[in-house]
Amino acid sequence: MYRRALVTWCQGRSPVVFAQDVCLYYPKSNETANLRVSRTIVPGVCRTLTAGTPLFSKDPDELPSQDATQRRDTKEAERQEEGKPERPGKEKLLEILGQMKVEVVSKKPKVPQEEGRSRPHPAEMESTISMFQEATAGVSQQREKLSPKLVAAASAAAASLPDSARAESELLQQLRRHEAVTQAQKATDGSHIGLSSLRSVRRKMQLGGKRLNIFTQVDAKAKEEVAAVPAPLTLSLWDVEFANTIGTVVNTLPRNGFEEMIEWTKEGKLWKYPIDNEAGLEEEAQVPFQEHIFLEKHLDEGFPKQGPVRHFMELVVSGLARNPYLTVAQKAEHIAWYREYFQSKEDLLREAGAC
Amino acid sequence: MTSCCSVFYFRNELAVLQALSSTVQRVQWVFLFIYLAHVYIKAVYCEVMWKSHMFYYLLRFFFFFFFLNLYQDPTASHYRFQDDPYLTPRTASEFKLFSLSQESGRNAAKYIINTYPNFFLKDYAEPHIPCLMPESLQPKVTEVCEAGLRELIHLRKVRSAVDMYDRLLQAGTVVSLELTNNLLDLICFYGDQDPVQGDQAEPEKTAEGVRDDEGRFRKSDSLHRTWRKDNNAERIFHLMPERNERSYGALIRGMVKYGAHSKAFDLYTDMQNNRMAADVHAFNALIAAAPEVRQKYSEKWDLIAEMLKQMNKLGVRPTLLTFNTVLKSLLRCGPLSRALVLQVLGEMKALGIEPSLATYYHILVAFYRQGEWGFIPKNVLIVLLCLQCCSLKDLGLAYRVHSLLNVGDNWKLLGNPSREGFYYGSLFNLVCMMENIGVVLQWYRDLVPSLFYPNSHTMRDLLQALDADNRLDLIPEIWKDVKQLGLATVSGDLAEEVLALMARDEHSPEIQESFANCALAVKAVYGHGEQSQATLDFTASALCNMATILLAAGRTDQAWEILQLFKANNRVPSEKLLDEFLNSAKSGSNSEQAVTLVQMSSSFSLPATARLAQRVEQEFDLSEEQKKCMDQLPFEV
Repeated sequence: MYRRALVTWCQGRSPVVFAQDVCLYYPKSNETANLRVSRTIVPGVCRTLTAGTPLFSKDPDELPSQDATQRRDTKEAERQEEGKPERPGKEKLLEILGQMKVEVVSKKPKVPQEEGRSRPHPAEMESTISMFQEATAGVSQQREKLSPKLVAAASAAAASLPDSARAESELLQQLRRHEAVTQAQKATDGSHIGLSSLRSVRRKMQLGGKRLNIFTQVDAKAKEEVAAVPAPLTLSLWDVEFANTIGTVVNTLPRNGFEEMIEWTKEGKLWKYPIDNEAGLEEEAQVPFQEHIFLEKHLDEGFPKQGPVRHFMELVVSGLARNPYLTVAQKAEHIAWYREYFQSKEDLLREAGAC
Repeated sequence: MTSCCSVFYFRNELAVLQALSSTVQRVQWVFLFIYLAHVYIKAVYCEVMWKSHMFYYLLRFFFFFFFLNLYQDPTASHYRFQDDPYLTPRTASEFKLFSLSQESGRNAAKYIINTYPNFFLKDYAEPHIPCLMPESLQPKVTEVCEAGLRELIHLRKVRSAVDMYDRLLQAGTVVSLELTNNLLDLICFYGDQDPVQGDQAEPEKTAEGVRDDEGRFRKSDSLHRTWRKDNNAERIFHLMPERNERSYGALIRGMVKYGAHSKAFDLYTDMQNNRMAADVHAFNALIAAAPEVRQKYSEKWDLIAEMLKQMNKLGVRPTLLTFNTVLKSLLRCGPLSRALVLQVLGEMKALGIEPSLATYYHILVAFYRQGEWGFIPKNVLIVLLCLQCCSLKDLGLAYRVHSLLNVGDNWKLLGNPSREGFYYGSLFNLVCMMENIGVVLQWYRDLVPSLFYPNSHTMRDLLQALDADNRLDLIPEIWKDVKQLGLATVSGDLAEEVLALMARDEHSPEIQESFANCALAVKAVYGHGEQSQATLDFTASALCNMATILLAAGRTDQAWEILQLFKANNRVPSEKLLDEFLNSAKSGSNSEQAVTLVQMSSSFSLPATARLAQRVEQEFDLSEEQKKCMDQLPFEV
């Protein structure tokens, strides 16, 4: 089974799957089911069906869109063929579809197209243009299986392009060119060429350097100045409010405990890890230790040079020098308070003889 | 403490772990396992002490990431709610109510702290936490001076600032140009009115569900304000002895913001006459205003192009905002937009300006053809992408868009809960349409109700998917969910659809049993409920289907009760239903019921009465009285 898949992959762009090959992939189904299924599958479909699903255990990765739509289309085709199926028939059909276990052959020739595109993509988000390209390419791929819908598909896909009339006529021309090809090859190559033509048309119109050509002077000037313009030095009210509105539009509510902790750390409610003993003490780090310890200079003015007051204040200063919890300003404030106090009590001190 | 050490040592690995764990794909389990093996080997190689302990901590992180909510847990509600069964929201309205109440609680606490700051001054926190301290919103400087004006501008008090400015002018002090420009900025930004205070805001504003950090300075709804003619901004502008580009720019921006577009252009010509060069922000505002001052599409585009050419001539370098504004204005230019939008993109690339999400949003909107959804969601790229996928019916693309959301911080782009619900709704709608039932149910289990609360449209899609894949036996479960989501009484469609699906085909006996129970549950939704909740009126089809289901399950008594309800609610039973009742009466050999049926049919004046009567006479043994009753009935033989 895998060998078959490998072979089809190596055959490259136009694997040809004949109707009877499909039978190889259904080991469990019976003969009648084989024949019925092979008859109803549109010949030339090279994409094979995905595994059927027991409930609740399907890995969503394994079901690409094409196969799902294909299953649906084949189901619809079967329904149309048999008219309104009776329920036992319908159940049987669902059983058959459920029993199919087939490998997925990924057919989209992505590699050459991506090489052709030299535009750099942003790392995380692919450009929506390329997604849109592939979306419309995917649409055209899906719809071109059944030939009556080719024209409708071409017009639908082309309508999304900027110049729809031209694109549509181009596509239709290319599709008409392949009418002589055999049926099997027509479906594969037609879709293939439809894919590439769509991309070429789109590329021509989009990226081929068409621009407004208004900002030529600014462009030239910018090429002369290599250095980037520095950001504006002052943030005006408009800038601040713009930043605020962006912040409110984006949803920042935390989804789990870790994100909540991140939010709180940014706000400052939570300590930053690894724990830093000196967090929050940045200004204190700038103050040299001499200013904390050598506080006698504050005693030069306002205090007597000798006597019990001076003695007392020297003790105060030596105590403050050993205090790690106060800032220099707070220590100076202490000493200033004492200065005022002793000055207000001066007459009392003179009476006591201590001045 | 040791956990902190291990965190510190392995911080690079942690970042990778966090990134990996933010994805939802189950395939990442494998990678994570391999990655953890690598980390263990690194620990061993680096001869970290207690390496077995390290592995234990790593295993604990593994546990954290997988079992404690860092994966999207489909059984839990959002993290912001209390993890209590009574306190988890079950419907969309409950979700809104609970999140609003949380938000209002926080606002109330902030209000109390700010109104009575004297009780909250003691600062226990070391290092200091500024955001927990009371904010002072009253100006401290009371005398008339420039510092006071500066403070008022900083506190965003528009009226007081204008008063202060007038008093300064009367006192004769010359206010500096920069300060006047700041004042003009303030007035123009807020449209000459004070910003809406937090406690006066309408509840709809906070219904965005996003935390409002700057509750008091929330941007007011500028749609409701217009630029008045006798504006303070214009008055001060004319009073200014000298004006520079910034003054003109502020005024132009304010005018454009509040709808005075032609005035903005007049001011611009004024500026040109004074040989002043506008800066890039003023040009952006003018470009935004351009579609409003011209009527024809081509004229609009010509004006925009004119503005851009003047920018080029003056050497003003356009920014990303410029081009986004151009794109936004282009959308108002009708059919010109599609070709021109791509050219603008080309211009951006030529100038080396990297397009942002808003750029792509505008481009997509220019090409978007409105499908079954009748409106374009504003400003949310991801939602628009999903809608595009829906209209293109491309499932692979939708999966890719969804996987984008799991990359890094992209989940924040979904915006507020209503937009998130819109996105998930359209994604689920697409999945229902395209995938088989196993995948659909898997998605249903993953998304509902942890990520979004479906509306009745979504539930109907789900029912259709069940029908398509012949899994109608799951309908009773779905009905339970519908009731829990509060969708049962919104409109009668869901109930009717559920009943119709159950009544349509024949199933095995167990399934019929479960259907019968479900039908009785649906019946409780109709009729006159005991509580004061809104109830639906019985419809004929609903009653018919209910009776059919009950008959098929063999519960004839309850089916007969339903038959009585027809008369009580003025509804007419269908003939098929009466046939079925007759069949059940025949299997029970109950001629009383048969006669009652014919009487009922004649009371409704159904055309099938004659046929029914004939059937009864042929198939049942009627007693004399019953035959007399039958003869008395007015019908045509």
